[in-house]
Amino acid sequence: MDRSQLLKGLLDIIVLRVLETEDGYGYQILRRLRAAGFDELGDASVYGTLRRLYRAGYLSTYVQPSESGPHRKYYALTEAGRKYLHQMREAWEDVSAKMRALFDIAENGTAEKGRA
Amino acid sequence: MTDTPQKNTDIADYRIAVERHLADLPASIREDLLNGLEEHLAEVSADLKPGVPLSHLLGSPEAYARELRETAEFPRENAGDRFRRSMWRMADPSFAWARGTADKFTGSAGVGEVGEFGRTLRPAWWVLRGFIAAAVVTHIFIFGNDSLREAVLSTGFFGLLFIVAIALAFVWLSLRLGVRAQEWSRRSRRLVAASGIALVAVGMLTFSWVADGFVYYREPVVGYSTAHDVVDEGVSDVYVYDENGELLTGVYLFDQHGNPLYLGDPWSCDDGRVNNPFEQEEQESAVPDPFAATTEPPLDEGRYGYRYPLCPVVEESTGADDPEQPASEPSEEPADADPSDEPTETPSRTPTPDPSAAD
Repeated sequence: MDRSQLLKGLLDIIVLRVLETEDGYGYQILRRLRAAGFDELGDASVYGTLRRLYRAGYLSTYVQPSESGPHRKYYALTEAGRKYLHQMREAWEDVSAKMRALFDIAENGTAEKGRA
Repeated sequence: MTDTPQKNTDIADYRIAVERHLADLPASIREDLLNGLEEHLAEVSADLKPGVPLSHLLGSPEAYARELRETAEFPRENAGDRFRRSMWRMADPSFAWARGTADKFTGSAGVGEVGEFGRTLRPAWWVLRGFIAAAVVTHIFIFGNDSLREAVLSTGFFGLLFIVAIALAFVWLSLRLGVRAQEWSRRSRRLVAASGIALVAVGMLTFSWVADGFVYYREPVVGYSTAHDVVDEGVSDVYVYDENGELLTGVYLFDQHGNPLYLGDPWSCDDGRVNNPFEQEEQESAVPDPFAATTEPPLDEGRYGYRYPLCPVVEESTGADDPEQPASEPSEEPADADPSDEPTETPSRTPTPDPSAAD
């Protein structure tokens, strides 16, 4: 499976998590993600996700002038966005734990067969 | 970095190209994306060296639009779903607790979780619904119509068969409806369920007289305390007259089964001279009983009931003294009401009722 396709299912939680600690503007958010190792994520994916989360009420925006360029639209988490992130995180941890357990079982089973 | 005309043109061209590839998106989403896109592209282009086009960093407008399309659409709930979801979220803790308790209750009985158990009860509900519908329809349209009622009742067995046929027909219809409704939409199923509840309500209203009648006919003879219920109907004492219009005192009343009738209210006597059999001993010692010379003391009050009249009559009366009981009227009634050949015998004999009188 294409890694970028896997990440698309996690875009909401990724973007919300990046904004949880600090507000940011579109391109800045992309750079944070790249710095976190999400090189596969394109600008359009991040921008589209930001706008979708904004329309859903999970993000709010405000404009700040920039000394080095045009005015920038900053995104910030709303209370609904924090709750949504919390839910998504729980879901992710649940799935992640199950996946890990699933792989552990498979690997142990293979190892036991090998020993046998 | 400052904007240059070339950059602005590049941004505008890129935006227009992206817009062209988003033409099939819903208008609200497309506008939201495009309204902010130019600002966003300006932020991105700020990182570009002069002369480097946006497509160098972002890829072709077509690819950008495709990626945007994949992430921009959000499965929005309509207002109704959103409201229901918020309500469920609010009620969730208590609902989850109640559901868990109910599951444990039914599970401990070995019938599975409450939802599963409820599903097994559906056919029983459908049968009950059919019976209620049949009962309501029969009551209103057949027994509510004089000629139809006479027609059904006069035919005896066939009338009964007719009513059973109606009941079976409604039960069949209800079962059929129940099975069919499972394939219908949620809204239709809710409508059917609401109709069933409404039917039960109509049934309860229609047959509420059954419960009322049961209470009315049953209570006056079941015990001492029920005498107060009879008081509510206006009977506070009982006067018995013989065929000559003479007031009988020290009388006991029994029904067709030989059970004593507790009519009236022993506490209703104005002067406090209660002829209450349960206080007979105290009364005899405290207040002279004017009937002591003519009546024998009760043998067993608990067994033979009240002795009438409950309130002592000071003067021997033929009934003419009683404004509500003219002497001429009661003289007629005992002959019709009581087939006893010895109405004027002393009450000491009456406490041995003859059950055959009931027949």
